[in-house]
Amino acid sequence: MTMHLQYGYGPGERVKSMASHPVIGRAILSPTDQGPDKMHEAATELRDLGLEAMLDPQSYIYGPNIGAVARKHEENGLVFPEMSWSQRPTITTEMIEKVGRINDIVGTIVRIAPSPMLSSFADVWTPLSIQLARAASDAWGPDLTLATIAVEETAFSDRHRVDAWLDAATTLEVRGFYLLVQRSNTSYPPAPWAAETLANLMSAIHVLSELNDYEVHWGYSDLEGLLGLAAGATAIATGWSHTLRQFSTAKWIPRTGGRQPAMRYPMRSILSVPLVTEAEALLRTSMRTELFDTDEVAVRMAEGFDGVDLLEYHLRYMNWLADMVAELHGSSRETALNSLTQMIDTALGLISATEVSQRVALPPSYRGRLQNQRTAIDIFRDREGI
Amino acid sequence: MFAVSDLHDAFPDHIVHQPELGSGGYKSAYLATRNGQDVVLKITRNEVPRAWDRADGVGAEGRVAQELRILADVESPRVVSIIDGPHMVKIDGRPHLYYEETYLPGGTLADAVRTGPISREGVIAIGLDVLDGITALWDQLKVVHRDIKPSNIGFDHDGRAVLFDLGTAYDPEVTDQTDTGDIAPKTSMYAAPEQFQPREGVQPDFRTDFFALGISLLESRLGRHPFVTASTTMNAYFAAVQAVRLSDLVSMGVEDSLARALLRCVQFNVSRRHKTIESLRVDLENAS
Repeated sequence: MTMHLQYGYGPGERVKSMASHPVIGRAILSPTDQGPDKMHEAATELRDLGLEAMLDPQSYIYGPNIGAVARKHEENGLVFPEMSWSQRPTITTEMIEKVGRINDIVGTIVRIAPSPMLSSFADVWTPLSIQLARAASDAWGPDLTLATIAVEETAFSDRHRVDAWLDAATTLEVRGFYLLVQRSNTSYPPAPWAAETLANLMSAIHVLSELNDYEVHWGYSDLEGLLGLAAGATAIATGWSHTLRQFSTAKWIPRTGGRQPAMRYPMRSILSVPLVTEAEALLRTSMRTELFDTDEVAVRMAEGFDGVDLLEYHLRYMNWLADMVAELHGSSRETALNSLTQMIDTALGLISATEVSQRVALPPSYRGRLQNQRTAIDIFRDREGI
Repeated sequence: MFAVSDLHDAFPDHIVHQPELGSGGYKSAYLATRNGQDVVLKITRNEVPRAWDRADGVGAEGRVAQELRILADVESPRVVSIIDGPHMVKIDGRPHLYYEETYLPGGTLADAVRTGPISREGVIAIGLDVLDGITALWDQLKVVHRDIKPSNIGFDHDGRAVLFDLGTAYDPEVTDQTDTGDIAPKTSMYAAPEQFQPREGVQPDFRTDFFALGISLLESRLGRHPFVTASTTMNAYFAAVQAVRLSDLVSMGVEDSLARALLRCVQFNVSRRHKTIESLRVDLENAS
């Protein structure tokens, strides 16, 4: 159970700060944000820091009705306008060659195969996704290839379709899977997952990793990634900005404007990422010692939250998640699920207590997110007999 | 079934024992003695079920040829061997194909189960032997047996289990690659769900045989089929397979460790069965 750094725009000093965390072992580079030279430089720097670089080819942004643009894809030789669900085998081969070429330049070892975006597991694009993984495995070798599954969240609502897809996916001779689940709602903090959908995703991870010995790397993950790890995922990947913590191709659709994200303050006790203003309100309650670490209480009581800038927020978030990954690291499935259940129950209890006894009402989505995670764990455990 | 006198005339060098050992869709099998050696004489019948003609793109003649090729090519004491043939012979004036296979004097697993449940150790030993046969078919030829069941598992002179009747095997060199077996012949009580409901993009592999092996071993341990009674419909059967849990098998009387190994074999979805032959072997070895 480890965590990868999901690269996006402007990694800056954040990588160096996080590299020493014991659960960080790899980083996933973004060819949207860096050209070949910069990615090669980043990979070298990561190696010096003891981390291994992988490269997400981001082919899922191509295809009809997506309308996405990736700034540096052309420079990286990763533009796939010709991708089609009925494409000729030569196009498939060319795609693998293009992805292989940029991986050669960057100097990666394990390689992520390209894939189209799937709206469901019965999508007409599904066979191409499997075919690309097979072609990549043939070209790069099974031990060095991760197949990509880039799929809409709603695809996991149909368990039988997921099971049928798993029957096909488990015929692949690959090292593992790079899993990207497109959220329907990209607001932050992430909207609650439907419990059944999340449980089905956990089962899919369990089947791939525990029953079939594949690695599973869940990219653009957030707190829900912990459930994936407890179900058997090898690693989760997350990034500093909100768009790197939940996957959506909307990130690649050109928009005008945009605004600075609201400053937030990740809190382990309530397993949530409240706004700084909400954290301030919690600090003023008599439950502050239950909600914050002792040292934190002293610092924040003295200094307030004014000094929390974007860099600190990003690093705090990354460490917050990495610390929880470290808590689960090395545990059996059963122990990890027990620990998570306990963490969620404690967080739900504290959220209720702040509302009832302290009259601090946090947004209902914080509680809803945790409640659905809790239900998903129960469904998963009952189904898998863990 | 052929007339005794016709067989006597057709096979002057053999003593053909009656009654026949068994018959499948397009062959009859007899115990015969030639030069003092017991053999199984397999003779094709004239009547070939129409539904099988072209089933999974092979056809009856192709199926016999495929079975003979597999028997000739596979090298394993855990898969029955071909001793002689194939040859053509006229029986009652009509041409038939025949060949000789090794005779398994210990009878079949179906015979053994009829006398009652088999011990845990016995079931594990049979499972490991059959797994050796599955391994040989897959590793050497990429062939899936597709019809493993107690009546297709026999016992040799040493009491070791041997797999036979490869008449419905899936051989990617012969079988239409686009056909995953939906209309291929099968034995409903043992066939894997994917033999009834083909999955897009899924070619049969050894995991299909794991299912039938799991059912056969559960039947051996229990002395009865784990999910089927006289009144069970196919829908009810599939529902039972999809719903089965470890506790169900244990409450039927299967020991926990054996139940764990066999539960993975009889999973409805291929992806939930053992990923490798070796992993099932380890589970079976650890089940004792």
